[in-house]
Amino acid sequence: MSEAAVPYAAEAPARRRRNPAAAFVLRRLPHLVLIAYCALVLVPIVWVMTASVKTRREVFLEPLGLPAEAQWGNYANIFESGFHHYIWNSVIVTVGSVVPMVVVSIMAAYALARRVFIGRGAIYVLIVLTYAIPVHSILVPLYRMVDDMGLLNTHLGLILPHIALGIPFSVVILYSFFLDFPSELEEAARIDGCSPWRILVAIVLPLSAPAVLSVVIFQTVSVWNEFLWASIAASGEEARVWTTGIMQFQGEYSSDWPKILAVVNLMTLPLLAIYIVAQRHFVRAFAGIGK
Amino acid sequence: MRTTFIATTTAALLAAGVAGAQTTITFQDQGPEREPFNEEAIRLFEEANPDIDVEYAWQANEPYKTGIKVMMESNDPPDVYFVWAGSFANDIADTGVVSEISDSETRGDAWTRGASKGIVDQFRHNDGLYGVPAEIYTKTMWKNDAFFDDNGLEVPETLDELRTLCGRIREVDPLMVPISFGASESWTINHYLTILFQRHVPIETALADYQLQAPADELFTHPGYEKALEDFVSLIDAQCFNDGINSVTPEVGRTMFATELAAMNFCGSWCPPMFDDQGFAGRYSMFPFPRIEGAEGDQDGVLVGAVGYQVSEASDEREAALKFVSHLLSPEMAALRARMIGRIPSNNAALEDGDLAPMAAALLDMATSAPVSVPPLNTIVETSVSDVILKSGQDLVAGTITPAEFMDRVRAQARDAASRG
Amino acid sequence: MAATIRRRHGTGFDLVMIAPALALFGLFIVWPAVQALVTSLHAEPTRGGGFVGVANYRDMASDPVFWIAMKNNVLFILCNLVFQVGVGTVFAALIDQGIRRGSTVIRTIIFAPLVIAPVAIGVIWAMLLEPNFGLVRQTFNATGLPFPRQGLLGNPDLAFASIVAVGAWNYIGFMMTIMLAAMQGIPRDLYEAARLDGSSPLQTFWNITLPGVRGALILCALIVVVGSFKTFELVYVLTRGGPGNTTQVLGTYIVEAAFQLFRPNYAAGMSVVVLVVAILFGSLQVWSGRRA
Repeated sequence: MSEAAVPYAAEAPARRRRNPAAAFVLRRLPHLVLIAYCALVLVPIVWVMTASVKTRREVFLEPLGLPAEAQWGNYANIFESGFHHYIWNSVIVTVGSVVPMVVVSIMAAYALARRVFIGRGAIYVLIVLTYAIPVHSILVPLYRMVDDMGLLNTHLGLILPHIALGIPFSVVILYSFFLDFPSELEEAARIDGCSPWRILVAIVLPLSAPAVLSVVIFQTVSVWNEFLWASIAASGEEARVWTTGIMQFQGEYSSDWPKILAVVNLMTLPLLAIYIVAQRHFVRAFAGIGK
Repeated sequence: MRTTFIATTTAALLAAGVAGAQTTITFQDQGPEREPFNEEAIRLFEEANPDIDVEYAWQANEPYKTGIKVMMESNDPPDVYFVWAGSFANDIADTGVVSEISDSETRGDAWTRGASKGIVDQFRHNDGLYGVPAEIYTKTMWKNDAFFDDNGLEVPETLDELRTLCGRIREVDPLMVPISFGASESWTINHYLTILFQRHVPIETALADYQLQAPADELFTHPGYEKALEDFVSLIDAQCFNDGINSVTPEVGRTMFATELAAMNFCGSWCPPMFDDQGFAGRYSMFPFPRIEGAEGDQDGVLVGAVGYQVSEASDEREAALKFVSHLLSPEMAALRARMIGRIPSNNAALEDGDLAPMAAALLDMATSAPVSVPPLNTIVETSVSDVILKSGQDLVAGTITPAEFMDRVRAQARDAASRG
Repeated sequence: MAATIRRRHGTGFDLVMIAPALALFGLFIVWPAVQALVTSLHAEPTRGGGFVGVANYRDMASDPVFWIAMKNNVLFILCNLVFQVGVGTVFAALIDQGIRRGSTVIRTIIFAPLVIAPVAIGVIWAMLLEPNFGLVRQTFNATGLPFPRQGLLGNPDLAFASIVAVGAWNYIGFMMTIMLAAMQGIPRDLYEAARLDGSSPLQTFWNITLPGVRGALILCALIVVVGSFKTFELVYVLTRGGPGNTTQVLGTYIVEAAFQLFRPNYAAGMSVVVLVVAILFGSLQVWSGRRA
């Protein structure tokens, strides 16, 4: 990295005359602050990892030490207790929600941003107005409706509302991306006689990968982590997902922290691993929301 | 060979198809502790009734409290489900989703054989019967025997002695918590208040207040309530409990006692199996909650409540559901329940010596011989008032309100609830 | 002429494009929202369910718990703005300003909690903050610091602050990442010019960095405001709204009223209040979008 890339490093002339030790600390202060905060982030994560293979006694008495003997049984217990069914339900619900949500959002955002039709502005404003609506603000009627449709305790009963609740945010992000899309490309394709559908699929979409990926990653994390609707609409066992399952698990093993932490860890580590491997995409996805 | 095999299979399939009026009922229970018994009881039931399948599921204690209410508000509630007798069961019945089952009682279904009338009555509400009792529970003090013996400590008979004992324990072993107490779920505070109110307020006065039957301006005005709360606070001030009561879970509280980090515990009849699970079997014993000198209530009263099962009104298979309830709560199954999971069945008609674990037998004896018994406040006090008591309990522990302010809140809510009728 | 032909040609296409989103959105958001309003004007089903006008709203106005929840929601927004956006921006500036070694590692670590589910974060921190055996208690003991007797989550004065702190742990990295991306878009020669003018790091931050990231800052603020308003999981898992009702937020109280106290229509009334505020936030988004 060149010197120019270090905008306001502490090389200002007035600094030079200071006590060198103080100057050193001052220059290192940003580093120190950030490293201290990193420790604050890492300690709980590392604690979860080690505690999940400890005995109960060790967790309580030697919170920071390594286990004398790794208790892998804590992980075996997850499967013995049937928790993997909940994980599987979460996978189905997440994939089942995010894929259609993103497809219909792309379609709607594209039409709203690039096409001209009556009511376009009104529809967009309506969608944006509702993007801050939390599920608890429509909880009771939504519950009754999904119940009347016979969809309580089914995957679909979770998926459909998830899709609907994800649409506003996805549309807003994609809309602003499509708005900036250079119109020359579309124009040229249209003159070549491409159908609007083909223009979207063959020309616009391939160039929209970053925005679409942003939305996919963001919504996958949201749906995977969702708790409130799942706790109401799938309180029975059939479609229970991991977030609500963990509360049952906690009720069952309440003072057996290592067993609970094994589940927490199993639910967290893969995401952390994916994140570390695909870090660039994650960061770009979340930063991309700022575009 | 092969053809015969196919022929037989087809025949079997056809037979099943003909007999195929297979009925399925759903059964929702609380907590994993009853799982071994439930599974065995269901196996026996399905053996005797091959045309009925029972789908059994449970939820852990805390999620169950909301979970079952959510389910009962749906169009497809479980056919048979667990309830605590009292306002929890009655509130659900008030929404009109619970089946009235006095027909099952009149025709003398299996569960009625030898059932105690007093306990069955706990499921009566608005002149109807909305549930069948399964177990009774009680709550008492437990102590670590070795710790008491080694340090020459005596079982406290009065609340004063208990307070003094707390100080003594802190002196002899600063690391030992006198009484472990977890109230992240505020029903545990409620249980202390239940017994303290019982000690301080005459039972007739208390019951009239709890059910909002006293005149509105006299509700909860007995001075004993405030004294009871002061006694509760005095236990906190005497350092009887562990730190952070409000954020310790009840389970951690129990675990502290069972792992000898606490000398005493106020715990229910469901606790001994849990203590034993943690390897504490045979090293603890029970003693009654201390008396309070000069208080106006009954000094030998105990907390006793019942749990049971309701049948849903929306059930398509009401007869099958009643058949199952009747089997599950029959005297024979009650004995099995006692043997397998150590709970105290509400029906002891078929109980034989040895079915009840010694500890459970002692608890049952304590419950039945007490001159006065009250169910926990949150199962008997009107719901909105009970909610205030539950929530304010944590405030009291935290020291943000005084006993007087606590009772002001209770009275205000009670008047409000009474006026709403 | 060409334009009209194109429009006519495209109408069917536009309809097909917009219909699925609109149908799902209308059925699962707009319709329940209307229903919430309608039911909130009726008595509870257990009390006959007749039309009662604004009675539920009047009850709400005199319900201290509703106001606690409202106040906490507002406080959450303010505290989260300060701790999540504020600290996130400062961290971004520190990295952007001149961390040469280890910047990727630091960024990776600080961002990491975002991928952990709030429910899991709640479970983890409830254990870390457990007042007798939790790591935090043990650290206090080891360093000789006094630990509050009621613990952190069980103490009405500290429970709320603890939830804010855990929320910050969860989201600071998210805010930092957005701000950092924006900061890296500021032309470097601006900084060079400022350096030649002899302005101090603080002045540079104030005069160049902050104006340069205004858009991102507004966006972060919006995300935090909306997110804090939706708060449910962290409170539910860490304190259930307690001790007493001290950390109750609208989300937890609505669920409690609807499904524990059997007052679904009263809960619907509170939902309508939440809806109105949420739509207000939505119009902020429209407004900020117009300006950008």
